[in-house]
Order: sequence, then structure tokens, then C-alpha cells
Amino acid sequence: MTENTQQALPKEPVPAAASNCAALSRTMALIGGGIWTLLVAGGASWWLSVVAASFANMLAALLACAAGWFFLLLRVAPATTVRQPEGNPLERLVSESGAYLRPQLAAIKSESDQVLVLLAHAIAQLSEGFHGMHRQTGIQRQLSLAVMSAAKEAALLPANVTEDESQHRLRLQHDQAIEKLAISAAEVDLLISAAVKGLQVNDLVSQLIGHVLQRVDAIDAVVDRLDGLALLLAAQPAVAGPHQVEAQIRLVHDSLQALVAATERPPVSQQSMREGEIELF
Amino acid sequence: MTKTVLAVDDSASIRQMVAFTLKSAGYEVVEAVDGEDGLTKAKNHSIQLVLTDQNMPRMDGLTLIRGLRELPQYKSVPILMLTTESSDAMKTQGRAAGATGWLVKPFDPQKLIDVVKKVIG
Repeated sequence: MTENTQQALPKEPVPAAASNCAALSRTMALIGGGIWTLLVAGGASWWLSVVAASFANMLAALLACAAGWFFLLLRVAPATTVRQPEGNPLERLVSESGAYLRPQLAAIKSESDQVLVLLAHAIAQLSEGFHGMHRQTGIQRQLSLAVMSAAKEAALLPANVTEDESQHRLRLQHDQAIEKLAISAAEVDLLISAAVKGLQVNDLVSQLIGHVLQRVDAIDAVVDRLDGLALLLAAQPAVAGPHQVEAQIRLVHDSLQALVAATERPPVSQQSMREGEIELF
Repeated sequence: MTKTVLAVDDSASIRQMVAFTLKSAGYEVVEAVDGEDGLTKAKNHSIQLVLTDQNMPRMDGLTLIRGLRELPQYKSVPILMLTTESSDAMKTQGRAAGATGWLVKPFDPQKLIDVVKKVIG
């Protein structure tokens, strides 16, 4: 790839794979240098032990070691002091694509899970509301009958008759039924509140699914650009020159950036259908 | 006199829930499907309170608030945000745009009524 291509693309961190390769290469050089040093030092010691005194023997071994490490450092130094090359733009693009796409896929999974959790919560609320309403309707029907019956019996009594024990009991039953009806009505209000909260799941889930679809569309655009790049690379050099490849790489890069921009801010952070907070400014 | 609330949300279910809740408390409700529709309806009705979502097609809630605050008749009309957004950054933007308060979805019907009563009586 040409120099221009490298300049056109923004600087990105050295991909993890390339960094690992460089570290492995340095480690191998160290090991190799160490073995080489031992061999030279050992050889020199053996040779000098034959021809010189022990001091000279030791000095020679030390010198041989120093020479070995010097040679070793010369080999390792370029790898440790020179910055890793930016790499082939295609390699960088592949690494970059992975780095951009993987979090998107994780986000899609997370948002899909969030949809399932919200739906489950809302369905539980609605189901509870449905069963509760059914129960309260039954209670209210019985209470209404009791009130009507008590009212009918009371109406049959002559107006000037003083209240005896049975009439007193009848009036108490009537009052209690009215009280229970009020309690039941309050219970129904609570059930309706829960159902209203549950029904709002439609809005939350629509927004989440809309966001997931945005991600999918943006990933689709990246894949289209990658397809275009693959076609160019498969073409003969006469058909697809380096400038066309550069331009296509830039397009892929742009589509990756657009993907991030389009999906940066998730619209729904709610993890349950519990009511949200209220703040007056 | 019955007070009128303008409910702006692109979600039909939220509009229905807001209308159901506020009508049961005695308010009139005018519904709008997005910010643009809300701005048009605000100009054509006498509104005492605006309740708006943030994320909507064509015009979002913050833009609607800014548009309303530019109209002389809406300088002091309370505007409440009713949205899934709950970040402090968004609330700060809402406040700066002229919102009166911030309600995070899902809303509890009774609490919505309480807030509306507190704001417009």
C-alpha cells in the first residue's frame, strides 16, 4: 500500500495482535542471545583453561559474556526503541473493523436482553392487573347485591318503626358493604395504575428496537463497503489501482465512524417498568 | 374553566395513557404526534400546560420547547418533559431550553395528576 494511504487514515493504536507479535519477537531474541552468550562464554573458558591461568580464564569468560550481551542488545534495541510501523492499511482496517463491530454486537445483545426484561416485567404487571380486576369485579358484584338487598329490605319497613336488633344488623351490613365497595374501588385504581405503567412498555420497547435497527443498518452499510473493498482487491491491478483501494478503505473507515455516531447514545436506560423519577425545576 | 394540556409524543400508547389519565382528573387533552405537530397545535389552541416527549421524528422535545418559548403566549406556560431520557446532561439541556420539570417514563398516573395539579392547579 502507498504512503498516502497511511497518511489518509487517522492514527490508531497498534492492534493487539501486532503488539503481541513484537513482544514475542523480542522474547525470542533474548532467549537466543542468552544461549549464544553461554555458548561463547563456555567455549572461551574451556579454551583459556587450557592455555592460561585461572584469572585470565575468568576475565576471558567475563569479556565473552559482555560481548554476547552487547551483541544481544544490538539485536533487540531496534525492536524496543523504534515505534511499531503503522502497519498495512488493510491489516489496520481489519483490526479496526473488529474493534468497532464487536461492541456493536455486544450492544445489540444487551439491548435485546433489555427488551425481553421490560416485556416480561410489563406482561407481569398487565397480567396482575387483569387478574386483580377480575377478582375485584367479582367482589364488587357481590357487594352491590348485598347493598341492593339491604336497601330493598329497608324500603319495606314502615317509616315510623323503631330500629330493632335485626334492622340494626341489616344497616351495619349495608354500611360495611359500602365501605368494602370503596376499598375495592381504591384497589381497582391501583390496578389501573399498574396497567397504565405496563402499557407504556410499547414506547420503551419501540425505542429500543428502533435503536437496535439503527445499529443493524449501520453495520449493514459497513458490510457493503467491505464487499466493495473485497471486489476491488480481487480485481486485476490494471482495473483497480491503489488509489481506488485507498478510497474504498477510507469509505469503510467512514462507515465505521458513522456507525459509532449513529448509535452513540442509547435512548432507553430503564431496566424495569417501575415508575421513573419526577423533578420540577 | 377546564384547563387544557397539550400532550406531545410519537408513541400512540403514551398519548392514550396521558389522555386517559388527565381526562379522568378533569383536564382537556390535545394530542400531537411530534414536535412540529405540537408547535402547530400550540398556536391553534389555548394551552395551559405542555407535556412533551424528547425523542420524536421531525422535531424533538428540546426544539419544541425552544420554539414555544419564542412565542409570546408561551413565555410562562409550564412545559414538562415526559421522556425515557434520565441523564443529568439531558435534564440540564431541558432546563436551559425552558422546561419546567422532568418526568421519566414510565409514569405513574396518580403522580402525573399530582404534578399537573401542582403546576397548573
